[in-house]
Amino acid sequence: MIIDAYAQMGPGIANHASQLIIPMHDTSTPEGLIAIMDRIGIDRSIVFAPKWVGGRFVDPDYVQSNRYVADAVKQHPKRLVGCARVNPNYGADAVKELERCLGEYGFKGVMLDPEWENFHPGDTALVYPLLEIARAKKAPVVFHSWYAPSEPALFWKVATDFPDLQIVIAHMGGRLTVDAALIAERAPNLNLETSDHMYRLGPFAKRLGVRRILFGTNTPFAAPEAELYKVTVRKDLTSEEKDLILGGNAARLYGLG
Amino acid sequence: MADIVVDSHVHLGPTLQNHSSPLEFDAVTGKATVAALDEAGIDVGIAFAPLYEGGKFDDADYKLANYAIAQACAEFPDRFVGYARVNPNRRKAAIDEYKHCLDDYKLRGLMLHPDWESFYPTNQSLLWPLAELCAEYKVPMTFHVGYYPKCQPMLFIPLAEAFPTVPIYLKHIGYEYWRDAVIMATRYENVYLETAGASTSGEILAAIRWAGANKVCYGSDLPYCLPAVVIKKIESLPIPDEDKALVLGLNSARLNNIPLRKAAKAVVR
Repeated sequence: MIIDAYAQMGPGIANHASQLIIPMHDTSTPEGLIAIMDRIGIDRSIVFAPKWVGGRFVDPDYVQSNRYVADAVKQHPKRLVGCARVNPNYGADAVKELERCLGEYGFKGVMLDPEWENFHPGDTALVYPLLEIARAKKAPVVFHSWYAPSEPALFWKVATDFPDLQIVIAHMGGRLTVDAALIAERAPNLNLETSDHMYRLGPFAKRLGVRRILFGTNTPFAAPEAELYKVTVRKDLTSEEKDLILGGNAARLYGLG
Repeated sequence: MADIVVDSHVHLGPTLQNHSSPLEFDAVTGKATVAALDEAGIDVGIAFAPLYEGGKFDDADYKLANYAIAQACAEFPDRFVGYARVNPNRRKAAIDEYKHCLDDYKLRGLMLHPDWESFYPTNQSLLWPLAELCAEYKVPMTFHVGYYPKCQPMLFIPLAEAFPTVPIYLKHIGYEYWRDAVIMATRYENVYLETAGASTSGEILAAIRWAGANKVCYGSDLPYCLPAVVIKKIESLPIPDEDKALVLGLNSARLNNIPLRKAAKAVVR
């Protein structure tokens, strides 16, 4: 089973049309996302709201977006896995929203973006209460990781403070993959997601252990065909290892049957 | 699909054996590198030395490496365009080496790495004599771009203005400064963006939309990277096929006087 651990869907997608990085595909609806999954051969997607960039659809706290994801998952329970997105700067409201997502909506994970939402991942007042909720629900937390303050180093302390929380560093730390790998080697609850990462996936996976690597596409902001090809083309990974990266690890982490 | 696939960023040579990190391919010789080009469907590789990071092969001035590029080009003239690589801090020795590469090795461009070799792209005394040779021989320059404080795209403004006839590739679309690199390519006719390695498909699409498909050139960073994956990214973009053809090869073919197969000639803009 192929599971995309990093897909974005919902009405917020349309706001991105004027951005430098535009959606390559229309995933503003679940049908749009599933059409891409069908074309590429992806069985299930762990799906969350795109970052809110302003625009006609007004949803900076992701409350409407999360409800939209919840409805989509209800319609397509075999294809979509709900993942909450909240903005920690909303404080108590973010806590309430996350509780609703992991409770009422039955979402399996949480996505946080320190770079976009502009918070420090180690902020004990804003972020740790959210991580406590995720830990209680055994829900993995995905952190976008690229520019500051989302560089891999910042997740080291978080991982140490929450040793029984599964944390996914998206994009294998962006351009700081070596940093991400060095830290993940020292924090066993850190996992790396592959989308938009480029260099030497095989050697990184081998060194860290393939069970720590999750395939993701960053749909619709990256080309999903290329993201999948990046894994399947490799000669230094066995088909069993590829199966783990492409879906087995996500199924285990998110408790998917 | 593409008329010609030109990889604008290929490293080869014996000093790859100094590298401690794993490589995707053996690219020590021209022959080994041609096998990697074939595997990815690349017609021509623009080849230059890898960065020198110490080790068994002592080649801080890139003489050994440039010789290896010359050998590969002589052995496979249809598959490689060779660029020289020098350390501008060697001053006269660097200029002499570059001239030797142009005259004796018939190399057709210059690759420089301001971060690794440690110089500012605004340094006229080090850089301008080398750029003058590029203008005189009508060959491009290609620069590693990305990393503060020596490789931000804006540092190339004086060079681009002083040498308007010299095509300048900004590699990796400027890495973390990709937005700035795109601005450079929109402002300067002689500035081009090259997609090597870490550029994401979203960044490549943004570069094409804002700077134009005629200003973006496919490059892979072979052997540090799988070229087939970079090609797949470009082929998967939601842009017209003729734009993909420009990016994948026609732009670099034009900039480097690489002859096209007959079928391709009609498409060149």
